[in-house]
Amino acid sequence: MNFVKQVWHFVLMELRLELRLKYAIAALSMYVLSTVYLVYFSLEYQGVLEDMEATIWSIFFWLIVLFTTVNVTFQSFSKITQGRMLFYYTLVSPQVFILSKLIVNALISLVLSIFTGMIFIFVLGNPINQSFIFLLSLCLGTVGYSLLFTYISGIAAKSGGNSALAVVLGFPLSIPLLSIIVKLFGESFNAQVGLNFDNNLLIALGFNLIPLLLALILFPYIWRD
Amino acid sequence: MNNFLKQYWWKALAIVLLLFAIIGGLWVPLYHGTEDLSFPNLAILNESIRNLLYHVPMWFAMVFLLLLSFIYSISYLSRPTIEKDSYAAGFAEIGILFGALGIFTGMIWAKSTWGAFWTNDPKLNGAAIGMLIYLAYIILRSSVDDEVKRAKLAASYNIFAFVMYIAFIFVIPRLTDSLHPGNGGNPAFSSYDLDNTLRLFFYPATIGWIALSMWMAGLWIRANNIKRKLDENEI
Repeated sequence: MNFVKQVWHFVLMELRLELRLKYAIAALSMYVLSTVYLVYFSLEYQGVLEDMEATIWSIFFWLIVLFTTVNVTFQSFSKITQGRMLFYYTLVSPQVFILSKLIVNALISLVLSIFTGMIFIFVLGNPINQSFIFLLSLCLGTVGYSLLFTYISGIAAKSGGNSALAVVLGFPLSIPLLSIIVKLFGESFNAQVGLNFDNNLLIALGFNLIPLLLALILFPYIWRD
Repeated sequence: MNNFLKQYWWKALAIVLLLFAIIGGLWVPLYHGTEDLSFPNLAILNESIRNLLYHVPMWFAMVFLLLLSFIYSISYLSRPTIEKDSYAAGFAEIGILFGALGIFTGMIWAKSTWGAFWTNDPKLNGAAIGMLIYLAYIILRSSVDDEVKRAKLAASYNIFAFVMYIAFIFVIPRLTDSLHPGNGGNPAFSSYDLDNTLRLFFYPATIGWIALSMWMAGLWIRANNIKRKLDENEI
């Protein structure tokens, strides 16, 4: 089997496993729902929801997406038992394994962050004026995070640590992408500015590519215990 | 590297250069119109211009050590030996120490020229993120008990983090304007570079601080290696 075919089958298998274990997805959706409700309740209680700035909307949104992504990526490694890992060693190359993980995690994170966005619009109001820029920055940000945190979670899970270790290792590295994405995201609130394919977009794309390449290069060295 | 760390000549050079830069840097007066040997007398900066001989070389030393740590991490992954891991760890740890010194000297300087210890400045935030990354590296190391596994995971995180951080350094200037000297028309180090007196002390200070940091890292690494061997013999 060639590389692409192997990755395709591995991705399908992972997705099937993910859908079979419904509690994992359900738990993550509940995680998002209760966090959004927590944000809604604290803002409502302070009486700032009516004239809330779009910036606050975006900060809360990205924090929730960040923590959801860490959970998605970490559980994708921590749920693999030792026996199953041994099975994978004999079955596929490390590149196939990590690439499939990257793709699956990006897909799940994307679904969850779109879900988060929908609940946000429903509960906290809709500050978005340009839905294309909104969706574009949401995709770039979420996929970038999931790529970064997939590798970091791989390290954290191998070290036998918990998801707090993944947070400690990953958050300083996620700040660059966050600062760019929040800037891009802010443009979607502004009705005047159209989409300009400027440096910010390229930088965000770069911060998607760098973790992807590094993960493919470095993962083969750490995947065997 | 081990042989180089045990040699004396560059340690003697570090002492001589640092004594020259520190004593000379404090002794030379600012320019008031008559002095032959003097530092430029710039508005806002005033006497704090002398910080150039501490703050900037300490950052250079940090960057130098972190680069060495990065190189040893790559070298570990291609041909693993436990010595390479101890080099990577030791250089990173002393690199963090020099980063902290760079931050403190910068903060003292910022208090007198900007009026606050910490400002929302891209360069300061970049430095803080760098410190966070390498503190996370230390935490990762301490969370793994198995020696080989620790070396492998730490090396891969070190490479990953270093590349991401370098990418970030190139992005920072695009985010906002900076108050830092050298940005946005502030009195800048580029204008000092033209000043020969300052250059006379700045270059020795740079070499001196880098050599001192290497010396400290060398001692730290060798002490850790001895400690490890003692532990192995006990078991």
